[in-house]
Amino acid sequence: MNDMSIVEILLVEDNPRDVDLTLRALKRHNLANRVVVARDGAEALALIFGDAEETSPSLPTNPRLILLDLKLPKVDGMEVLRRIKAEKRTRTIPVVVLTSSNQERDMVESYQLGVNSYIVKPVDFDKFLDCVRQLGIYWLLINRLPEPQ
Amino acid sequence: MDNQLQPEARSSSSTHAWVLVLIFMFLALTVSIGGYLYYLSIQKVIKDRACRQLSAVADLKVGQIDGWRREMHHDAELLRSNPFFIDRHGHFSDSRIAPYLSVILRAYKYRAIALLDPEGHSLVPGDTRQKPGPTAIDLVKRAARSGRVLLSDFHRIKPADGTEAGDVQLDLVVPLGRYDGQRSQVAAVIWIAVDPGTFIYPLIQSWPGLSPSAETLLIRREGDEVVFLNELRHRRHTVLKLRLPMSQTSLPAVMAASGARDIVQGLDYRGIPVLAALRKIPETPWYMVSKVDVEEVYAPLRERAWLVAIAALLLILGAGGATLSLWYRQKAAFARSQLATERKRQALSDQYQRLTQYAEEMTLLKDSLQNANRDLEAFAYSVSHDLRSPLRGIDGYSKILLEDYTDRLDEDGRFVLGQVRAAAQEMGELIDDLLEYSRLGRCQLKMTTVDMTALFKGAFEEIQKTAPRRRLRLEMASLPVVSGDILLLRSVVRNLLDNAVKFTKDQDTAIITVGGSNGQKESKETIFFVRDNGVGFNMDYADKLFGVFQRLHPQEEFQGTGVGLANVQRIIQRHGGRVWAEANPDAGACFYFTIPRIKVAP
Repeated sequence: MNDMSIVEILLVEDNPRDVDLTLRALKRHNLANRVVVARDGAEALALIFGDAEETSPSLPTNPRLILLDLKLPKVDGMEVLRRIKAEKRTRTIPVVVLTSSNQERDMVESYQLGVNSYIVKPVDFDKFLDCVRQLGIYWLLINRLPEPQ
Repeated sequence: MDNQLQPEARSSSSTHAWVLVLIFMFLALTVSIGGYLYYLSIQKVIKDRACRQLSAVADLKVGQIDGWRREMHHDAELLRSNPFFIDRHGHFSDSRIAPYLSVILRAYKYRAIALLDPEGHSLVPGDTRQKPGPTAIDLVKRAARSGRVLLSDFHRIKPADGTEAGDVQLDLVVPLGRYDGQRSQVAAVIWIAVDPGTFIYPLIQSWPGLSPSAETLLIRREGDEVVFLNELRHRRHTVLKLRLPMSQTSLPAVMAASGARDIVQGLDYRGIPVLAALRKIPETPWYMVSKVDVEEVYAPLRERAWLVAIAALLLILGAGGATLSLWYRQKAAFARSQLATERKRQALSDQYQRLTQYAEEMTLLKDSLQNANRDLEAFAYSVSHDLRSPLRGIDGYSKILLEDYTDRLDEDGRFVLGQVRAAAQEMGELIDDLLEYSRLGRCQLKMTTVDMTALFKGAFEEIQKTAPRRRLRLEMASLPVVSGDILLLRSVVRNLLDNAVKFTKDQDTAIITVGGSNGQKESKETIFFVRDNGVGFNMDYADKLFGVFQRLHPQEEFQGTGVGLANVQRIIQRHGGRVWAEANPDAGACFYFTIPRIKVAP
């Protein structure tokens, strides 16, 4: 667990301000030590599954948690989720959709694809902080995952 | 549609036509047969009448000729028994006989008369114009031998010059004798030349009544021939000259000479069809033919036949006309019904086309609506996602500024940042409410039976938990059950109760009264009300109450985006109900809404 090479959180978010706010929120609760950020869906997929051209490094291991925004450039969040949950190796990674969308359709589709949690980002930063804190504590501390094969 | 109607109709029409043609043919046949039978009956009547007439004429003539012949003999007997000519000694008184013969000649209109001896030699010439010919002398000799009065047949005398055929005459010879008991000695013979033109010919030729073709013929048979004895009506100079062979069996004269009697039909000497009555003249070799042209007999029949034919034709034409008119009427009726059917079909077709057009338009409209809905959803998605993100930034960074840099901000700076955060949060709420309002207009209603009592109770309890410091009292009796979307109706109830609680915040105890009624039996809706004892509002602005973002109170006094009542109205309207409010400032407000009643199964 203290191994620094193990990425704790993969944050997939295209809005730099939201990235910053999320990182700040994680930092407040000392959860931002091992966070990797993907700026779009394609980058996220490359990080998780490796890149055919080897132009960018992929993650050495599965992240312990993926925070996924839905509205992303190139490959959207729903496609990323589908790919993660379709692959046996990555299926066990907890994926939390963290999005501004409170559309029921998105929520239903996410759960159909096997999302582990769906959270609508509150506008109120206090509430957002609380949200991120609870997420981190639950998924990184309370929740138990099987050892990677 | 028309393909089903017409063949049936057409076949029924042709059936009608056939029936009518048959009826017409039957009528025409009946009329024709009737006419023909009538014609035959008339023909028989006419023929019978003609036959009766012919027979009567023939009988009359026969009687007359016979009478004439008897009269001749009678006259002869008178002469014979007249002692004037010869005394009982058988002597002639020459000087008186000649004038006497002359008197007789003139009186009886004889052609010639003379007193001859039994050998035919002239004793007393009564008239010098004609001497007895060989025929006469032969007859005289016979009479002298037999002592009987004899009448010759018709014959032609030889004229003096011998060039031409002479006149036709009959010879009458009267033997005169001396009486000596039973036997008589013929001493002389009176020879009389009778001109048939004086009496017998007119007798034969006369015909009772006017007839253009009727005539009577006297004939006799000579070997294989028949000889015509009198002047013919239709051919001159034929007496004793016209001889026709017995083989010409269609000739009535031949038939008579062959022994036929009564009425026959044949061709006369002219070759013209005639109807004839045949007789034999007693004690003579003569036969008589009374005949009339068939054409004349049937002339009235022809006339009648024309009348009958015309009448039959008229009847047939009438029947045809009636049949045709019947047919036309039927055809017209059929055409009318077909026209009506066609019009109906046209109307139906038009309607169908209109409906199809409407359906197409509806489909297009639906498509465009769906497109619009999709656009709206995409828009709402964008709004929800993209508008909230910057707001979160504003709020987040303000918060970070407030917390992490609080020592570098003075009181006013912190107040300003607080306002920034409040505004951002408010806008977030507005966006959420807008999205909710939009969603309410588009979502599908899931209709179930909704227990309004439970709904109000549940909502009230939730509100009590969020406002534990308020003194709230709900006064509610049991409410009717309605049919509706339970989630949406819960939103209505929650909004109305929130409103009531919100506007009673200045009251010591908020009293919220809720009621509901199905109204009259025939009422089509269930009505509910939510009354509070709050600040109320001015009725002048009641129409603005349910508009989006409409507020009747300053935001400092009562929080809220002003979307709640708009959502209430939208939900109730989507259920087919109505919503309105009554109030007075500082006298509380009462909100009413209705839900259409559904028939509840007993």
